[in-house]
Amino acid sequence: MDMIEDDTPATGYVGSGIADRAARALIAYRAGFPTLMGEAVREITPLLWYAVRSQGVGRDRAEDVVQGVWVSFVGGIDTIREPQALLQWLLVAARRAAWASVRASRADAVKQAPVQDSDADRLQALVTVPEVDAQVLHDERDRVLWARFALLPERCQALLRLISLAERPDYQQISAALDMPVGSIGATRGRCLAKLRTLLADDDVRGFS
Amino acid sequence: MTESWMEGARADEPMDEADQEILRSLGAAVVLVDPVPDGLVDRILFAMTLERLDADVAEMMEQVSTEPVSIRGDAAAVAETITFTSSELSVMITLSEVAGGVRIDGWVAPGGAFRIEVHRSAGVDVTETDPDGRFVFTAVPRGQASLLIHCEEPHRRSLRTPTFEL
Repeated sequence: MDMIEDDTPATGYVGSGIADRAARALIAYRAGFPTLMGEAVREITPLLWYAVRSQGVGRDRAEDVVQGVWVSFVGGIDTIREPQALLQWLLVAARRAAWASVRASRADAVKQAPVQDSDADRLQALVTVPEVDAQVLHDERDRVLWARFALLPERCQALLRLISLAERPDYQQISAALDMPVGSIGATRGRCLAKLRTLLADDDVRGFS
Repeated sequence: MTESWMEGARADEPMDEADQEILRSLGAAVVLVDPVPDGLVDRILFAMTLERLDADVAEMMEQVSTEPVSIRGDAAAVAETITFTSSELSVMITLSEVAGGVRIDGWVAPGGAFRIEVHRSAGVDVTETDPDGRFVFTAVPRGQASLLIHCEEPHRRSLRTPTFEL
């Protein structure tokens, strides 16, 4: 998070990472030049999308949540003192908004659940993560992987989802997105992968055992 | 997802080849099964542009679709009326389909001289009200839009509507 000592006239940030690009975009945006911010929105929105989806927010609501994060960033742009912190700010805001959205939809679901339902049924309805279409997976192996992955605890799914989307995951970003201490990500990842491999081994699926 | 997500990698417990294969397959599946929605980035950029306008935001009060009506034997068109209000102004618009997009007939009350802008992600159209507060955009391309109502008197805040669908 330290300022990089540099004399680049435009912004002072010369790093090549996504957080550096976001910092440059923020500085330019404040000065009235929105082009870099447009690029940053294009680059960062997928991260926010998968971070929000990892928290169990449905696709429809996730769109509103992600858009809301960006809009509140514009409204609160003066509260971000350190441009280098923008990416972190967005990820934390996305996680909080996702939690609020999940709480709201669970409260709705409880209100709407018929009273005679057993607690077990009701709980089941609440934890079901909805509405993605696994039919797009044509490979049988991928379908089995997806089905077994869905059996993992939510926390494992969230973490593996984010890690799987990167070849070299940045644990700072994952920590911000999931509110998981950086130091525990490696071990949790190991446990979650081990569970997944056990589930896959039961199926005797070619290639993953 | 692009490479950008990955900078600042940490070396920790190594993964074996099978772990990496699972993660690769999983990542590919996530992107296929749960893609970032088409157009989301453009909608976000549009919302950010609106948020930067120095304007109060009106509240959407009512949205009424009327039955298709046939005018002069033309093809039936669905008209839609939306009402917005703020503490100072009300704005009513009627949207009707025309060739090349949507016609907006609007009315600002109380009347007066206002500059009206219709913002879309692709750009801005401008018109002015007549003394009764009426305005027309004859054909605006479909998509998300927001109206900016700018009073010509000095020291009055501009007003904008929430986005609505043309």
